Amino acid sequence: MPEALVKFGLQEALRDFCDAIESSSGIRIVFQQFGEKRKLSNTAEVFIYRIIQELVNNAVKHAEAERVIVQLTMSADKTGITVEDDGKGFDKNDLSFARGAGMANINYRVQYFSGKSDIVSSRGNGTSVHIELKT
Amino acid sequence: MIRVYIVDDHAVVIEGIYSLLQKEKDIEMAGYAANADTCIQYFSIHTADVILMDISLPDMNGVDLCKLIKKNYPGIMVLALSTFNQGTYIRKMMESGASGYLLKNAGKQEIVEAIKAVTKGKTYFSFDAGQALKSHTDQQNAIPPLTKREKEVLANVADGLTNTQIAEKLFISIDTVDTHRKNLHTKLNVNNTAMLIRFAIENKLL
Repeated sequence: MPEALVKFGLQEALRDFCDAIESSSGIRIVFQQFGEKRKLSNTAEVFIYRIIQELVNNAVKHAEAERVIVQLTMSADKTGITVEDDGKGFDKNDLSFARGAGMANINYRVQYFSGKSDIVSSRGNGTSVHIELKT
Repeated sequence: MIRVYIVDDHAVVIEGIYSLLQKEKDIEMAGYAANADTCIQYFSIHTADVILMDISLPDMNGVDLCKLIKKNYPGIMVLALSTFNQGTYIRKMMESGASGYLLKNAGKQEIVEAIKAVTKGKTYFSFDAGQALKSHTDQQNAIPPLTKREKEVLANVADGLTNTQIAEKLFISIDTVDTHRKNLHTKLNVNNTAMLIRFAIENKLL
């Protein structure tokens, strides 16, 4: 488990992660957290942390984005994750994006928590990934 | 005379600060510890005016040690010492009762200035730490940016569509539409649809 996750919990660990990526990449990363601040199971927290890491890395490495929004929302039985960038986007009909190991990993994790994912993207209009997990 | 104690697990940091401060006429070195436990034992018998406290110690993190010290000895001023220039750590230390935050790239003059400031009851931040804390706070006060889906859901709600209609239009489940709406309420701090629309119009979100 990442050290910050153990020490400070999911919200603070994600905030630190976003701060660190912002300073190393120069891309503005806005982290926002809403709703309840529940402590989830370790598995759920690690999965969420890893999913967000993967999505933010995708945005930073491939999207040529200037700003990324990372959002974590929690209700009594669900956790929502949104990672959205203002980068170059992609054509969803071009499925090559879905064949990478990163997306496969995310899909596996989403299924594990009987979650749903919703990806909005088109060329020139950035990418927005929304994931909901039952936690 | 200001008595200064150092807790840091790096000998080079302790020795460095010791040699920097030794010749300062207003400052006296009270002692040092390489971990939280030794520090706690020291203060059960002795005291000091200021503790320079590393935020990552081998047996306890600085945030918890700071809380403990301030709870038992509120008169001792804690000055956090760290290589991390991150808003979260700084905020956490301040919430735990620290009087200031010093980065380890600080020079002698800055350390002395910080020690003197906190003994007078002032707070002290290294310039960079102050900036990191500020951007951290700014970020929390602004109207939170909405995501694409939230904007779409908001626009459709304003057009009078029901959750079912919005779900069909955006190819997402009704559940997800509901989540987005709830999130909008939480993010914009409103209780119902009427307030949501009013807030959106007043703040030109539509």
